[in-house]
Amino acid sequence: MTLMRLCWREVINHPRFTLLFTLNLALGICGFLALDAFKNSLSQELLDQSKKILSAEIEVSSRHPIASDEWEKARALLPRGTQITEVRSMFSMVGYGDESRLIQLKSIEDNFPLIGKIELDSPAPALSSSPSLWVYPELLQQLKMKVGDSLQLGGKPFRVTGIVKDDPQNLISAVAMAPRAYLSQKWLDETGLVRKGSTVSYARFMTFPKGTDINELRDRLFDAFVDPGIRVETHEQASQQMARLLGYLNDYLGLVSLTALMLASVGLGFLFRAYLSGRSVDMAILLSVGGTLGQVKALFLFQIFVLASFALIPSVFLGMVGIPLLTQLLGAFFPVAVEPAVSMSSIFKAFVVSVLGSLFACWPLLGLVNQFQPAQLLSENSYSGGKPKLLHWVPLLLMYWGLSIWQSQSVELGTLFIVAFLISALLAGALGWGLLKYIGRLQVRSLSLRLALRQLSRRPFASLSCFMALSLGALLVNLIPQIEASLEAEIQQPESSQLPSLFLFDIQEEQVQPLEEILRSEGLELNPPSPLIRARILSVNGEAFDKGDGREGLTREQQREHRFRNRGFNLSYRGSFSESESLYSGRLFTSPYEGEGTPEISVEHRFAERLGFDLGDVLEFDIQGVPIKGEIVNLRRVRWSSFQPNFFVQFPEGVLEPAPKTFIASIPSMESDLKLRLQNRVVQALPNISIVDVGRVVNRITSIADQMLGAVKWMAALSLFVGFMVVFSIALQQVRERRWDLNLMKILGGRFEDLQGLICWEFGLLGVMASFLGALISVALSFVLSLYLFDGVWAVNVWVPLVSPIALTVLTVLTAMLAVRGVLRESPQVILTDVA
Amino acid sequence: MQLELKSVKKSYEQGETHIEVLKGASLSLEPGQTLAIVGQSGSGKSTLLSLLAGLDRPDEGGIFVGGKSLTDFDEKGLSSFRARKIGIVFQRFHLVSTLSALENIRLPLDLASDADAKGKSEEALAAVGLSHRANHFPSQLSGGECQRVAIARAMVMRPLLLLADEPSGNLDAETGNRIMDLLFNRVHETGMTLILVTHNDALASRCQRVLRLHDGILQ
Repeated sequence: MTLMRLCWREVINHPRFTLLFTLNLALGICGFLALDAFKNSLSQELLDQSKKILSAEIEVSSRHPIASDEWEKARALLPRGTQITEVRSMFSMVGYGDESRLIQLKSIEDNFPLIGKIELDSPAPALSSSPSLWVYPELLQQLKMKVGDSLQLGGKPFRVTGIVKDDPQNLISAVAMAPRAYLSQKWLDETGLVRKGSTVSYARFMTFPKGTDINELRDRLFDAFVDPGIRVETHEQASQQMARLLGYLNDYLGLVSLTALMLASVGLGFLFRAYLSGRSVDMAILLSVGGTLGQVKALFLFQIFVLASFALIPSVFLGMVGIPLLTQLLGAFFPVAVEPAVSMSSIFKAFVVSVLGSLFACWPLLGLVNQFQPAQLLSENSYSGGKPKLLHWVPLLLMYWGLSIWQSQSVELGTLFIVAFLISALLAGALGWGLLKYIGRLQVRSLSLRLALRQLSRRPFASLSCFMALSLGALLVNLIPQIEASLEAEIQQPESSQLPSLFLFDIQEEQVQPLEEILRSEGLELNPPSPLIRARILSVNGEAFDKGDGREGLTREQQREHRFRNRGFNLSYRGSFSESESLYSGRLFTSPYEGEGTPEISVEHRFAERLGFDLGDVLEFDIQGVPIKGEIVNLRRVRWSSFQPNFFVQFPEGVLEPAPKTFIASIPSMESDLKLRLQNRVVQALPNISIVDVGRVVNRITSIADQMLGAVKWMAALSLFVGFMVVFSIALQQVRERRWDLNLMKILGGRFEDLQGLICWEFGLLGVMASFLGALISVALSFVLSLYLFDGVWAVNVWVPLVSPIALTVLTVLTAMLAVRGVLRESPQVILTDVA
Repeated sequence: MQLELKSVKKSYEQGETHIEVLKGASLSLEPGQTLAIVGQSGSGKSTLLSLLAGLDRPDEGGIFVGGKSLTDFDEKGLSSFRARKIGIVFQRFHLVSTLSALENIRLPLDLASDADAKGKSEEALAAVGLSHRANHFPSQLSGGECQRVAIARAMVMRPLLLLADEPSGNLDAETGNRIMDLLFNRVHETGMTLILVTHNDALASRCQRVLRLHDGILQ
């Protein structure tokens, strides 16, 4: 009780420390809390509406028709009363007059959807009643047509009878590459679009009688299918998967929000150290009257716990403000509205992070309590602090490492983040230390500047805390535009004009020649078409390739592996690498396969990493019922953003030529008029070929990336704001400690301008050095990240590192002036009042 | 007349209580004179010191230093006058912790843009016998050394009036005595007027005059 009473008095009697500590922590944690609450709300909302979103309770899907024997086995497991509807989805071209567009075509039965309904803007007859389409409004806008007009779909005309107003399955319209159109299963085959090897997704949606254990049934169905390419998902899994579609963005947002917390830790550490220093005499008195060091430490620990709990209140309020902002920035990606509510689980998580974060940030400094001694009361020398032990920082480091992994859902990315952050912090710390020591030796004429230089170099702990908070904040602010620059360069490199104009798929073997003729007649040359052969992996080094349990893992790495394990492969063959490929490891194919021994294969290196393949491994594929083996002789690096036909696995020539295949191809850059004309000619002559307008896709990707980076920028701005809060706290604390110095200077003749100049120089120098250094580190870090994220495509945004330090310096000076204005204006008389 | 106080009154409001600290204090000092002001805690010594240093303004009455009325100056003018004409030695030394001994002494000269700041500060440091500690910081100096630096700093501008607030109060008796010897020697050498505020009657007796502040009146 005594401890609690003493603790409460510490909290009440030191309102400035209480307020600054709480505010630092609250700001540090609010981004984390807002993001967690947003994710929870979104996840809950999706879960609540999961049946409507899937339009069923279970979906069985595959990228090839499910073999009848496989389906019959599964069907036998379904309870009586199960309703089933079949859907086929594919991309296709539609023609209207002289215009043509790529659409996402869904061919449905009359009972689709089993749950919910497709809302049309006016009643329309069933799709099976006549060759008709229900289309998304944007298609009508793009083709300048209206309801009642006819579209050419493959070899058959269709009348548009309905405009889709609301579609529960239109999950993420913001990232859709083409508008959707519905037609009846009855008519799809008549279009001639589905041919051998066409890219079609086959799905069966099901609902079950009441009382059916959906999860158990899903597991039994999954086990019944031998084909690893068949996916079985419950409505809950599907909705959670949707929540994870923004997973990567959430991961990065989480990491940036973590940076805010880390910066806040710097502020907390500084504040606590200054506080401890100020409390040394009182604590020595406590020890002199019978208190123990353990009790003193317990008192401080309890105080930190109380303050960390206090911090939760403003952070919840700030989080509530942050959720609508995140909803506004990311809501376009989801079909559901996210309630701006902070769940108890988010609050609890934030509480744990808040308490542990502040305890671990202060723990190393608590060791300094050992130096509090009653003898100090008898000495004329005041408590001079000391250095915390390096080992005592380990819990804080481990906590942030754990949080990084948790936030990024990836051991690899979380570790990379914490290592990059540590290296950046160490670099900023070491360079900052050197700079601060160096400027202390400079001889300058201006008194304010001279005093500022001495102040900075001779109070290194405070200066360095400020310096690191600012430079890490500047690093974050600068890093995002640098990543944007690299992303743009990655998408557009080497030059946008060298990207193909059109990308074609589902080209039948016999259509290659007519296609080349069409192009030739327009004076164009088709880039060599690449054969595409459907396959699935049977075994690796003689052991059956395990398809897993079909459930996604916890980490991003496990989820990626799950996805690759559960999908068919598109193989190809070519003699040499294309321009967008390069050797990562191993050797090139020796020659075309001549029928002896195991054929050689080349595998994309990241694909190999995810599935654990290495050089020398022998993979066995099932290619349309024929088993074919291949030995990995090289791993390739592929620049996927080249929009050239590329594959995860490639054989040399001489192995797969007899296999049933389609082709994919690209057409080099051309004028937009010619592109439109050519697209229309191909659609008219070869209607089953799907054509992607690469320019349109690049614009779409850029706009999505902009939207996502917008959210990251907001989170980075929060981190920077926390950085300024740290500067404010340190400035306020420093001014308090230097109150007598500043007032003494007034007595010695220092004018208001002199003192103002001193503070401006001091924090201006800190701001300019720290933010330029942060900007420089961000450029270096963006280079390292480009190796990891963009396979070495790196570009620098020159303006941001030049302009942002100026803005940050001005803000730093303003923040410091705000913190010191009270002391600058007070009468120096206080210096006498205190002592006489 | 180096210093003259004419019926100085000063009062404060503390909550709802009106406290009259000075009820008409008067005194006059010739150049080179030394005066000790003694009084109990709370008798108003620090208020009087603030007024003499030009850090506060009286409610009534006048304060003249070197013939100039402190109440006639605006804030800027007063600050400049104080820096040049009034030196203060504090009980707790009040040295800037990030400046060396020499830099602390040099600070008022730098603030006044004195062209010979270096020479004068080195001379002042030598006068208190600490040339060998020029580059040491306050944390590296003993209490006695800190007070010597503070005395050198207070005198480096050659002020007309030197105010010393319990200058030996934070020191042991022997060091305190040595510091006071140094202070009185320097005052005699330079011919400054000294006002010493202290509880210590023995120390006060070293001054030419002793006044007691009691009930707001200098007696």
